[in-house]
Amino acid sequence: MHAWVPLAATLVYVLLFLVIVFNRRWPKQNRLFAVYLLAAIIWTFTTFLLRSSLFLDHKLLLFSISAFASMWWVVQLYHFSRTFINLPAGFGLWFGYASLATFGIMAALGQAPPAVTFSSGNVTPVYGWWFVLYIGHFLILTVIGGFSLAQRLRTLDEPRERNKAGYLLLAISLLAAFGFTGITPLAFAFPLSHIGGLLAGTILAYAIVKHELISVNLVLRRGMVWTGIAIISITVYLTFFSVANRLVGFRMEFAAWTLSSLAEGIIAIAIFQLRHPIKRKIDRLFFRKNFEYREELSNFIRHEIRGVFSLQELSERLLPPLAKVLDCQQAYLLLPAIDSGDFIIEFSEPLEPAAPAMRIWRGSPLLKWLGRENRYLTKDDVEILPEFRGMWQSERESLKNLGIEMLFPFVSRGILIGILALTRKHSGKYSLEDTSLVEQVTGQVAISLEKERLQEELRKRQQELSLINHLVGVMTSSLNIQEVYDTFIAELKQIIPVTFAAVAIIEGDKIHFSALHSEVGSAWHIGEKIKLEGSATEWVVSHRRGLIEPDLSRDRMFFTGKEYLEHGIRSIVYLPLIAKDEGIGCLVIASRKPNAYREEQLHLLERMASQISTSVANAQLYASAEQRARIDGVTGLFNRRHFDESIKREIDRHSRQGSVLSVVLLDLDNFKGYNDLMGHMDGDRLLGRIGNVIKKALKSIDIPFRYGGDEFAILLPNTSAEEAFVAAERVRNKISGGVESGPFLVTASLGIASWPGDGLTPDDIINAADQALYYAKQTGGNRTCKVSQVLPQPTESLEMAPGIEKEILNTIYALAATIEAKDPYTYGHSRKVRGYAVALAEAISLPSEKVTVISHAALLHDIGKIGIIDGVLHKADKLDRHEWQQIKSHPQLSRIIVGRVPRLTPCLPAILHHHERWDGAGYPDGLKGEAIPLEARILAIADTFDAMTSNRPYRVALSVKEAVNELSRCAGGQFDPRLVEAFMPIALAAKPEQIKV
Amino acid sequence: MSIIRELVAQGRHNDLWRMCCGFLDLSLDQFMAVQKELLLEQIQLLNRCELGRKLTGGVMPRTIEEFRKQVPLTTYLDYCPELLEKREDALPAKPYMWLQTSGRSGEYPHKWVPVSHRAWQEAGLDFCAIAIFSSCKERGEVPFKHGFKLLHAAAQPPFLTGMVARNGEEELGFEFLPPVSESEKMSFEERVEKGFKLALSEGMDGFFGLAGVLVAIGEKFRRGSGSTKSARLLMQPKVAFRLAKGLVRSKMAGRAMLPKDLWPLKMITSMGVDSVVYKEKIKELWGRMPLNVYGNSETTVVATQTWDYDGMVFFPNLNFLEFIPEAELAIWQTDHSYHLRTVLLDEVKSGESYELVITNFHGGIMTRYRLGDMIRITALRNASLGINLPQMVFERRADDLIDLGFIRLTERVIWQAIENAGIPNRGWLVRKEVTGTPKAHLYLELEDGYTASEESLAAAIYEQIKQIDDGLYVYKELSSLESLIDFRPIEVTLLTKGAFASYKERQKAEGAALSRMKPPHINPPDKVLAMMRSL
Repeated sequence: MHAWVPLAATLVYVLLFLVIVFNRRWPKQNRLFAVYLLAAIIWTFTTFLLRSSLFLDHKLLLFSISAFASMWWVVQLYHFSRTFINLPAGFGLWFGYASLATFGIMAALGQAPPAVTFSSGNVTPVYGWWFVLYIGHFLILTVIGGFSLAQRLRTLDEPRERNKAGYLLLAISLLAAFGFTGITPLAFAFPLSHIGGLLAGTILAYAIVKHELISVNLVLRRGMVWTGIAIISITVYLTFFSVANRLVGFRMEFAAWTLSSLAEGIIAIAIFQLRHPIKRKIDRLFFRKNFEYREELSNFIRHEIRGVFSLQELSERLLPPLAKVLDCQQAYLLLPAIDSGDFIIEFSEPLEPAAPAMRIWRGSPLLKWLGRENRYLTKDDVEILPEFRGMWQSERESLKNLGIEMLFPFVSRGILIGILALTRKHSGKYSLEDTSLVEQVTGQVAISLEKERLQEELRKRQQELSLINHLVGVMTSSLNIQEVYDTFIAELKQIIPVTFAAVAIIEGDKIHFSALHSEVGSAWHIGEKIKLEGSATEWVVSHRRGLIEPDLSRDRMFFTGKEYLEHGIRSIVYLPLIAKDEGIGCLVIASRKPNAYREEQLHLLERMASQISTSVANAQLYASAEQRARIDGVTGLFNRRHFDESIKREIDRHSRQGSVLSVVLLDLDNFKGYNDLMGHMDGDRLLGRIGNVIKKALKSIDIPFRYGGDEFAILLPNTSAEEAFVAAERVRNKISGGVESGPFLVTASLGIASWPGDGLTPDDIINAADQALYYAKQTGGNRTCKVSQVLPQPTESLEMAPGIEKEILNTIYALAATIEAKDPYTYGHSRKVRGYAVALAEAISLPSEKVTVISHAALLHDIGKIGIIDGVLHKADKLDRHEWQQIKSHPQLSRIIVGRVPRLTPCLPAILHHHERWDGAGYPDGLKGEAIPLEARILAIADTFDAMTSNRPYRVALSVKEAVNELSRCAGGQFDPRLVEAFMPIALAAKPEQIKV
Repeated sequence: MSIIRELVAQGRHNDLWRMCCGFLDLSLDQFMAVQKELLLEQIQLLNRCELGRKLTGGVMPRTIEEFRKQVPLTTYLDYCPELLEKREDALPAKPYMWLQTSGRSGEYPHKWVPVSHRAWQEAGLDFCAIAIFSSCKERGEVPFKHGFKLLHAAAQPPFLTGMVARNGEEELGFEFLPPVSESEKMSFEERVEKGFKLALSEGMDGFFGLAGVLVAIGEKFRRGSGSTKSARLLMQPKVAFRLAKGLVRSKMAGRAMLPKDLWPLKMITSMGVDSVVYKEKIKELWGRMPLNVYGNSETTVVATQTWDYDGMVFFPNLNFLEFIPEAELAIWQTDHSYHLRTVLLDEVKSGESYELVITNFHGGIMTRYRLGDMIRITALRNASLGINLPQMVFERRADDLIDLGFIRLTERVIWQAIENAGIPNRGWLVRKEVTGTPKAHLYLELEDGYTASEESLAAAIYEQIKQIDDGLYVYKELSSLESLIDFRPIEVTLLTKGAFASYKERQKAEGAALSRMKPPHINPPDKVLAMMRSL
């Protein structure tokens, strides 16, 4: 027995040695293991020789060699185990060889041991220091090896490596246990160290030769099952045999042997049938509460999976038991996104309210590797393997942030269709048994997963297609995009988040917003134009592809970005609108959330934009045709028809918003004269220029129209009457100062009315604005009046239909023009007098009807001069008495002429008495003080002031200052002193506009 | 703790090798896959930043094909003024550090290049690989250890070599002599001297720095200079023991004592272009070849030699590599409007030269950046080491720079130096020549009636060059090197009188264009130089 065990061990070692040598792989660990086996062969063979009756005279030498070889064997085991778990040999190897060398020297000197005794196969050495060295060597290397192995196990996360280390630990534990019993008295009867060595060697050889090791836990568990079965069998058999013997008292003869063998066979078969319950019991013992989940998982995979009809159900049935079995903190199921193919988290266990952000790009090396290798990856693999150097930072961060420890592929027909990502376990680390279980599960579930995913994908694609079709249908349902835009946006929100959306259409070097939806307000409004250059529209149209700005707070590409950001927009997607291969504009979709849109969504959105482009282009064509129908051909402004539509729409809009809308009516003061003199062609050109001037003088939100003839209208949204007055004055000044009109100075009168203050219906507002315009005209023209200035209503005498009124006014203008045409020195006098007189009348707050009367009277005050011969009228020398009489007769002549127009009779007192003096020395009636009509007193001051400041045949014009002084001097004599005082600021401030006729 | 430090600390050398050096096992296809994956990530980052869009001309490429077709090649001027002003808001990623390097006379005094945190982490893997290659003898071996003592003879932060040293200290546990934090306050000369003394007492395992400095120290040692200081050091037992050991070794070898007798170095790494020139000398003096590494601030690191000290292999993880074939370059040199075509690493041919164009990964900013360096592909694989990736060597500058390792000269600097020295001349040519040590060799024709020796002319011109303080030195602090080594970078050869006039006549006779009546000042072709010398 003593000799044969080592010999059997030698044969086994030789066999193992040959297996290792002929194994094709020769890495460093295999080489070291071969050396280890060599040492073992020497040790066991010399032990066999030592314990046999051979070489009786050389037992001391054999003992020394055997001891030396056993020490070498331990060193090699240490070296091999360190290499096996990728650790440097370190101090242990140095110590091992040093002690081995020392022992060798001692043996050579005959001190290790000094002598041995041999009897009955037992060799007993003489103990000494050599034994201390021998034991110390064994102890130290075993402790260092075992300790470093335990340390390594703690740091190792990789299940295969941990399993390898587990085998090693098992081998070393066996070796230590048997080795220590080998130095006890028991070893004299049994060569226990050799039995341990043999077991350890076999385990290690298995670990080396087999590339894929069975889980050491499983081996232990199954070992327990079979050991249990063996123990039960033997116990039952022995019990049966003992009881039978006692009862029957049979002797060991053929019949008894046959019967007992039969009984043994029956018992063995019966107990073999118990292996499943025993296995279950042991598994339950090992897995404790996890056992139920294992059963559930196993049941689902084997039987129930075929009855699953949705991805949702599949994941709900699979993930919870799997996560419980593995005891992992979190399990995620990643599936490819339909739009991009990127893998994203679709399901998690435990369920998380919002799926965490993790996206593995479809070209990621991670996916390539998992698909190709079809085995799990650990987080260390991802860090270490060079193939993963190409992984994107975002993917690495996702793995890290979610604490992913392992990734398992679902591969079906060679294609990666899903990934199971596991975080840490609640306690402990993943074992090879865990990974084997998951691989088994993923392998079985993969086909079902693929089937469900394909169905899901099909469903989603159908949904998307139907949604796109629906969106296109919505857009094509009307030629007015804005009308259907809200419906379109509501549908679009089913696919992507939308806070703001606009259709921007290219018009030359500009883009205008033809439809707009915003939940956060907007820097632009419908119809507004902004420059094309440097805009996103220019970019997407020229590159013919969509573009995402993921976070405007971090980076803005276009000049519009700042405005968007100020309105709370964070991310935008721009989609080109291309119809008939021509870029017509851009669909802008924005969200207040950053990173709301992904590149992979772009493709779908581009497709959708491409589909609606034709609708947008058609709508645009329709809009431009409609626009043309709304445009006045002469001025390029909107026409009357559009004004009527617009004012209704704007009133509706303003009533919804609760804001103020103002309307300006504008009439050219003397366009008829211009037309008569220059011809209708020039007249049209002038209207065109006026139209341009009006457009330029207005803000982009104000809309000008040609109202008819020489009349224009302006709509000013969200503008009060006061603000409208400022805008209207800007227009008036631009017209009077900036329109090329040849020898004519073209001016305009403007009337302003506001909704809702001046009327509630479009007609009310237009009438009110017309009254204000009328008032402006009546009071001299070239001025802007608000409705508030007109009220109270004009007197009955002047209240007449606009058409008739206009004709009379034209007659008056014609008469005034005739007078002035007679005398170049008084060129424009009547109009200037009218300007001064109206200003003075308003300064003393005369009612509007009085101001109107004064305005007309001022124009016509010298109309009587038409009856004075030119020689008198233009005489430079002093007039004789007769000539003076002629001159003094002109107020009466004027009264006769004007008096023939019944409607102008309110003007007569002013015309007749405008040469009366405050002190009563005037003509024709010598009236005095307040007996002189107020209108005549006003006219007297205006007439005199203009005469003084104009050249005359007999003198040059006085300066304003000189004229003012003269007025002051004459106050209380020639003029009403209070009126002179009121006139002073008017005289000093400005001259009235000169009017050329 | 970074994963490198963790692996080093746990002694997981296999994993360390696989992580840092495993790229050697990649096939060319796998290498290209890594390159393309990272470029696609970089394209996205570039599209999202102001400077990126400026460089890409606003085209916002989506694919690698679009990127190569639509994005123009760049030079550093394209990054000005954003990088000179360190405008972080214009960059693809927040810089973790700014690296400085020498500029270009008259254009920008120096260059600043941002490096993102991720890029620096990735570079750390490559630095670790370099440390392994410079110390190992075979695949899989990781001989360096925590506490390796290295003499540091390169520039300090914010120059690249200084940052690399700092990384080596933090990540790999190297101990520099003196420590980087201390040496940052010293001049270059003081640092080398202190390091040398520490090496005598504490020992030295390796060297990191410019190869020229290693030669200079070795030569100085061989000449026995500084013996007084050494005598004082002999009072220290450790120094005395080391010197005695060295003396025995040298006596046994039958020669004067050399540094290799004192320090059996386990690694020498050099990032300068002069490593190849000095490699034999270094081996003779220090007993080991320097591992040549090719990199600069714009790239961090591009390629390295491996343990056979032969051709360099490219790193896949820091820059996208493109190569301008020499034939393309020749067309471009006559017509700068020519659209240069580049090839990728899987398209290069063995034995051909290329100008290197790089695009930083990981949020770097250099985009299709022309480094101005010509490299030559020596082989498409290294059969002896089983590396299936192209091998390269640095060849020369592609532009008008003369790179002498310590200093870089441009046409303008040399021209100004000649003028400032008041040397009346009829013309000159200059080119880099390597005979022993690299030099700028100036070929000069003096005006009639002016005579001077070639040595005095060289000295006068060099004196003037040193006065021109605008980005001349690769590292400013290296200007003190002259006291340490015998550094004479200018050599002058006088051309015979009338050489330039004869050249012009000959060109005229051959009907050359007016612009070719004079030979190029910088790096004239061999044929032109031979003609000038024969006239």
